[in-house]
Amino acid sequence: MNRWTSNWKGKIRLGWPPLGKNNRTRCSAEFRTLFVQLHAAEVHLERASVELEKQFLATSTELETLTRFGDEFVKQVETLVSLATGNECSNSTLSDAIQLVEQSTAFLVGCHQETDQMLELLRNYNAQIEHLLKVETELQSTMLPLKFVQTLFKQESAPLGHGIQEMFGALTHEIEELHNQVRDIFGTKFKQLEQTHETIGQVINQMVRQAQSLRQATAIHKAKIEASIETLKKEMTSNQQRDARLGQVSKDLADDVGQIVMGLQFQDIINQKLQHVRSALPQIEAKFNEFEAASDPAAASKPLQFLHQSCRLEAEQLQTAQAELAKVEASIQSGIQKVLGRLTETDSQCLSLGEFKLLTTSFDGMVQVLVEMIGEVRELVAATVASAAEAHEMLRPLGSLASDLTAIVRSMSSRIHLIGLNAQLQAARAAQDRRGAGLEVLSARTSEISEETNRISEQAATQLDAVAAGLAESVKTLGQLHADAQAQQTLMNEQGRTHEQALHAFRDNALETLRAMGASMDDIRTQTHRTLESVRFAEFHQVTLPALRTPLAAIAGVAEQWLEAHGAGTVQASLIDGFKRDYTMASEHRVYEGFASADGLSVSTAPTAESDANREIELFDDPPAGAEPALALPVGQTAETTPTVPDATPASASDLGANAELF
Amino acid sequence: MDLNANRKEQTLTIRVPGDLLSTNAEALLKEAGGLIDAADRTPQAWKILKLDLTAAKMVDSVGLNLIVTLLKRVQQRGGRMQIAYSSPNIFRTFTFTRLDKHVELVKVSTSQQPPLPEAPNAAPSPRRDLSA
Repeated sequence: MNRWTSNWKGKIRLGWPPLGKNNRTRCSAEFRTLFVQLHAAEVHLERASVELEKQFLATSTELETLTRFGDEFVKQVETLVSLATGNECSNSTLSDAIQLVEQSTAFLVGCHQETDQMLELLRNYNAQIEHLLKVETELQSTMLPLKFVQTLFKQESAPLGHGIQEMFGALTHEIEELHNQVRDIFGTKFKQLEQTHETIGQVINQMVRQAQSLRQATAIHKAKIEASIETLKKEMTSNQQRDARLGQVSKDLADDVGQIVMGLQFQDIINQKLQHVRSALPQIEAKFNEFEAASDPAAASKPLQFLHQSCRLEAEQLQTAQAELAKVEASIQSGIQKVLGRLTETDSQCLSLGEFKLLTTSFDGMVQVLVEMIGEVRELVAATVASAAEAHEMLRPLGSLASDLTAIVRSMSSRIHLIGLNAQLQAARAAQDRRGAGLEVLSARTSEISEETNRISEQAATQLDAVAAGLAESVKTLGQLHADAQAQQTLMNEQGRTHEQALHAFRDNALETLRAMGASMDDIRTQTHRTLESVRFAEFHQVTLPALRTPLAAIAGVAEQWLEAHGAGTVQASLIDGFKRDYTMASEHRVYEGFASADGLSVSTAPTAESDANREIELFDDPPAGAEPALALPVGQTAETTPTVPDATPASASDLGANAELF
Repeated sequence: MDLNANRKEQTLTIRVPGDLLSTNAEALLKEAGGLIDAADRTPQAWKILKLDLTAAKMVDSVGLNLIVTLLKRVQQRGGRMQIAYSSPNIFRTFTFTRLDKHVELVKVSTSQQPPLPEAPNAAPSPRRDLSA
């Protein structure tokens, strides 16, 4: 048993080692010095707490701005992806342009069909003209005997009277003129018919060539647009996963921000913890005064035991608060970096949109395809106009030529018929003269030849009529085709230009959104830097809190030394649980319970009514197994205003500082 | 628009003086087409078309159409295309529109860009040819 002697009240107790007045005085002096430090630290803490609150507020403000930038960015992402993946395909920009291209393509296909029909007719007419050109030979061979008839008429009529000679002379003269007329017709007019035949041949070749080229181009064009539309439709159905992904980006971002907001709410927690510590300081100081006033060692040991335990407890609470604040600082900083990382990743993904095969806005996407197609269709329609115009110009004069030729052939036919009649008449007159038998035969023969020639001529005239009518109809059809093509060309020029502009505006909308996203990312990076700069809690947890904790630990140390030196125990049988009543945080309870169990003290685990009420205002409880993690409190809501959730398992209740999984 | 032909490297460089927008793209396309036609008439064939967009900060949809038109022309003759840029926005545009899969993008830092044109009375400074 140690013996202690104290003489600060002039009393000496036997049985204790004599220490003397100086030891007590020195001890008190040490305590006083430490309490001065403690007071100074407390004053500094008050100022620093205000500063800390400002810093949390500043971080909150900067985070708000960052969140706003982030939300704007996500909206831009949604717009961009929506445009690029054809979500807007149902809108009039793309669908109207598709309609114009499809309508123009249908027109071109119709033109091809009409052209084919036209070509068939022209080939038919050309064949008829070719046949007509053979009429010359037929006529020549049919009329050839007439030359001999002329001579025979002269011979047979020579011995006959002058009157008969004159009659047959006139007849032979008519026959001669007929020969001349036929020569004229075939020398000039039928030459023109040959040229017509040649021209129609050229028109046919040209139309065939152009039609082939146009048909190929139209077919390729038609296949391309059908394929593009088909692919786009397929892409649109697979784009539903896009919406889920975009929704996930928003959700993930909200979660990230929520984590930071939870961290920012730690400011309330630390305030409360420090308040609890500070509320214990007057009690601690009172115990020191009690120690100083104690008359004997036994009386002095009790307050010193209190000092020892309470100061150690509060120092440990401060140590925990210090560590938690450091953790919160790191967590907030990493949360901010995470937000930046997520947004940067989203931006990078938006640049590629690799999971989508076809984008409306890509260099080979629907916008580009449609712009090119409008240009191609415009050129095809223009080519059709030119082709129709050329064919029309070439064919137009031929219709009238055929008509002219028909009239000439019909007049020739009439003449031949008259010659035949005349020959019969002369033959009848000659028959009255018994010496005119030969003339009668010749006249009959002449009549036969003229009948045959007449038949051939009439047939040719009829065919020419048909060709003329057909050519006229073809010219009319070509004229109509030309007019239709011109109308389509006008439509293409007007509406095509309008649709091209609308398509470019559609793509420009996406490109402008992309540029805005780039600007947003610059803002986000700058704001991230600003927000990180605002997170400056280091001084508080590295300087301010240690400045308060150190003297407390030193007081406990001095008390311990004194107690050990005087043979008194450092542990009190009953735990000073007055401070425990103030605890509202699970971590405070844990520190207390850990402290108590380390000291081997009895701890009342049965929650008191007061402690239940305090526990009810825990900010964060561990959720039951399988439940969702706790959501961030809305900004402005504190622990006191949070709806209460009774804690069925107090041991597992945790506050923000102990929820490692949140960080 | 400047045109420069480097026979040794079989390259044709077309330098665009600024942004490629709807206000100037059609005229630039005609000019570029004419320049390429003229180059095609020379004996040495070119295989690489370098489009210098280092002075551009923006390419809009019509400008993009111009580039695609030039690209198709280059591809038809079996050549390839390079685009030099300095603005991050240009890079983003070409990446987003997937042109980067079909043309070679070459980043040029602003310090490497040729100097601005001199004042009319000043002596001309040598112009760096990116194709050299």
